Amino acid sequence: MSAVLFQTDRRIMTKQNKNLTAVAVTDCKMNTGIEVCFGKAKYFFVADTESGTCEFAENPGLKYSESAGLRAAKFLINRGVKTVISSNFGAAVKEEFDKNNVRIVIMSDKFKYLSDIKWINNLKRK
Amino acid sequence: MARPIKIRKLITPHKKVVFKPDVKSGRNGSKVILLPDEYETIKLVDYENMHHTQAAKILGVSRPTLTRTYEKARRKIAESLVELKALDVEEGRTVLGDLWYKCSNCESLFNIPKNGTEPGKCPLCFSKLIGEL
Repeated sequence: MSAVLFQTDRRIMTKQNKNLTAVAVTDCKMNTGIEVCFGKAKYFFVADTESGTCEFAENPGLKYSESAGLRAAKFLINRGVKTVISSNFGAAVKEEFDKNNVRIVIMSDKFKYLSDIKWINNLKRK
Repeated sequence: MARPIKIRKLITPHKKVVFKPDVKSGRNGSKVILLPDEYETIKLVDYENMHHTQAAKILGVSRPTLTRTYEKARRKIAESLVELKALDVEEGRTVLGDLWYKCSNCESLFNIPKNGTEPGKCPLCFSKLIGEL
């Protein structure tokens, strides 16, 4: 599992200048549900809106018992994510994203699955 | 004359919600109103495990004020649980820390980063029907 994760990390790292968007999700399938709390998400769906590709990255913060959200936020910032989508953000996470000029989107309860966001259906999975 | 109440500062806009006991056991009509600053205090202290000092700094009030608000909030939640009353999280006298936008099509909320330009459309549904909160 760790080898796969390493590969995904390297692929995302090569595109730091691109406009990346991350969504907090519960599973690594295209019809997965959206996680209510940003830090507790199992996976992050990382979409590149320019090239039309997407992939799933595991949340590195879940291994730790404390400040999982902050670790996840730093992980996404290092990968060059510019927009983050979830339904709930903590105070520390919000502060970290503000410092690094990342846009926060709080989605309404209408969105329950990843496929409810229409532009995501047009993306190609790597 | 008493000093006017300080307006609480929220970091993210909160959603208006009502928690109700199920139809059989609930008492119709009776409800407990939880103010937005009380809801935010519970969220910061109990959900995010913050110290009272840290949480008070975020809300822009003193530490004793936050502790009093926290006490009130806990009593209200307990009343709602024991007396089977609905818990209503209201909107009230609060101010947001920075500028937030709302899409009237999909009802999602978003902000703009410091170096960003004003958004022309919603990042989720690409609707142009957006307004400031």
